Amino acid sequence: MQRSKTDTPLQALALMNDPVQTEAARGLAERMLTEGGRTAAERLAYAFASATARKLNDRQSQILSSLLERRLAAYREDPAAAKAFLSVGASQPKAGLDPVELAAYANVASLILNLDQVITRN
Amino acid sequence: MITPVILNRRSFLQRSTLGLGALALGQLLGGITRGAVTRPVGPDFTPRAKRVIFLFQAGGPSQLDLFDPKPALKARYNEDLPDSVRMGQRITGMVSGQARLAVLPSEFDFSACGASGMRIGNLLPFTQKIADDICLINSVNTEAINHDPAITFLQTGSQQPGRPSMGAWVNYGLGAENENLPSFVVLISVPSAATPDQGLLSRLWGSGFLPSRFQGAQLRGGLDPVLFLHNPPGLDRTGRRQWLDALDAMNEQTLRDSHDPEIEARLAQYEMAFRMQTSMPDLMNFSREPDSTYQLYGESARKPGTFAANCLLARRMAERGVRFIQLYHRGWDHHNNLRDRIKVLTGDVDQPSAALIQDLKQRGLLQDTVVIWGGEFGRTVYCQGEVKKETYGRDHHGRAFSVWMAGGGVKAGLTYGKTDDFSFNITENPVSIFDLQATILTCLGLDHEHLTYRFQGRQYRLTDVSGQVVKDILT
Repeated sequence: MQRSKTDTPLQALALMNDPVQTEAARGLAERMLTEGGRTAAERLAYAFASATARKLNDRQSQILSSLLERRLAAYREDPAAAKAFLSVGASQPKAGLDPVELAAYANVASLILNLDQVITRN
Repeated sequence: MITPVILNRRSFLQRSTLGLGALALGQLLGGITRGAVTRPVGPDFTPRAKRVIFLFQAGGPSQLDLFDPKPALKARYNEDLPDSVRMGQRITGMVSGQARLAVLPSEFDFSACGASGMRIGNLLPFTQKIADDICLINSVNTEAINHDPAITFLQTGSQQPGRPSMGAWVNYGLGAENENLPSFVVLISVPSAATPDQGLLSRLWGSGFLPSRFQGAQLRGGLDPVLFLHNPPGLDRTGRRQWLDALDAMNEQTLRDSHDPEIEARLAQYEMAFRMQTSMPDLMNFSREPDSTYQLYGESARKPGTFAANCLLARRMAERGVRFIQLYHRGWDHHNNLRDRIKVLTGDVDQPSAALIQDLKQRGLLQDTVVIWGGEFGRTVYCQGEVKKETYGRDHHGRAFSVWMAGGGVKAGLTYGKTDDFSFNITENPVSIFDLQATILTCLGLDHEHLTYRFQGRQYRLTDVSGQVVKDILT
């Protein structure tokens, strides 16, 4: 017996947009900023290893850093959007963190939680 | 068309479980190349139709009360079913313990409809009006006797779970017409009265051993057909696109390392999700439907999740090029109280089913859409339970039942197939489930013997090793 495979756009939408997922991404982003090291590269590697138990390679690190830069730029221009993103979920964002930075990291954390390696058990 | 595909060890072995003996290897590799197509393969010949709308009536509607009139039975009320008719054929465990199998004529009248005089039950006044647009097949038969194997058989070509569904096969065969909506959509409607429902499991629209991107997407039957359609606040469409580009790039890295073809499916489904964020609100925006739409489909079409609303949605999906639209309506399993319960069901589905045909026709869509209306089996001529007008029921009957089809490539105004005096056995032009499936694929330009996929060492088909195209009902 083998469990049947399912893979629909509805699952993708839930993993992208369900408030629980967004809140979990924010939680991971908080850990990246407080426990994940000092540089962006360290923090990305930390989150990737936490979710996949694998090392981030150079190409992957490049992809994630580039997204992080773009999201930081977007939220610097629109800090209200950063705050809106952090408002999702029942818990309060961790105090003392820069909302722009936290929201950008939460965007990247949400991507990590959507990786095929994370949501598929092989 | 053969598209090369990346195979990892796991998927290679899955497709070749006969083993990798040296003698077989060359043949297997050849076979794998043929079967390894994960992209749509395209039609085999000129299609009559481009898409399918399947109005599945789950539970087993009574052909005796709706489509296959046997007026002579009125004289045989409460007589025993003759052994010469049953001929020892199996009956379900629900009636095998009954002392007798008493004949129950239909209490409902029939009328001759349309130019052909097609006989349709008076419980279906709207369907009666589209008699000239449909082909009524009174000789469909199935090997299954209980719901789940029978539905699984009709939807996947096997009574055992695990095969790809018809919609998945069509999706695999023809691919999408509209890249912005799933090409195989499933809608389960909410009956107007609470009735004991048969379960409908998602494997009925699953992809089986086909790549999982070919499976159906089930929309919810209510106000919110797709959950989580909108981005979280603070993430606009540009931001989502940046996010998705990075996700694609990351998953492509994994695909390169692992060669797992399912990652391709994952990439495709995330892209589809992104496109659905804009295409779904447009699909679901009924605000520009004029009042005449609701006169046609009935007022219940205003209530999301009803069969009528889903028929209207099916038309909107057909307009937008959704390839396979699978509706289910449940509650036809009338083991008891048939007389009252069947009216609830015909009340739910008659007007919208007929409206859909008329609406597709007036929009020029019927000619390239195949519409199928029917359930997994029919019902018995004999009574289940006490022979009492108020409470009688009919049991499952797979030896003969009725399905109607309409649209692209199907002969309109034709009544096809005949049954004996008891609507028990077929006497002329039997149509098996495999025949029905082969015929539907033919309408779409697909040769049911060519639409194959290699799995566990052999080429599989929807119709397995059977199926004769019913050419008599095709134009």
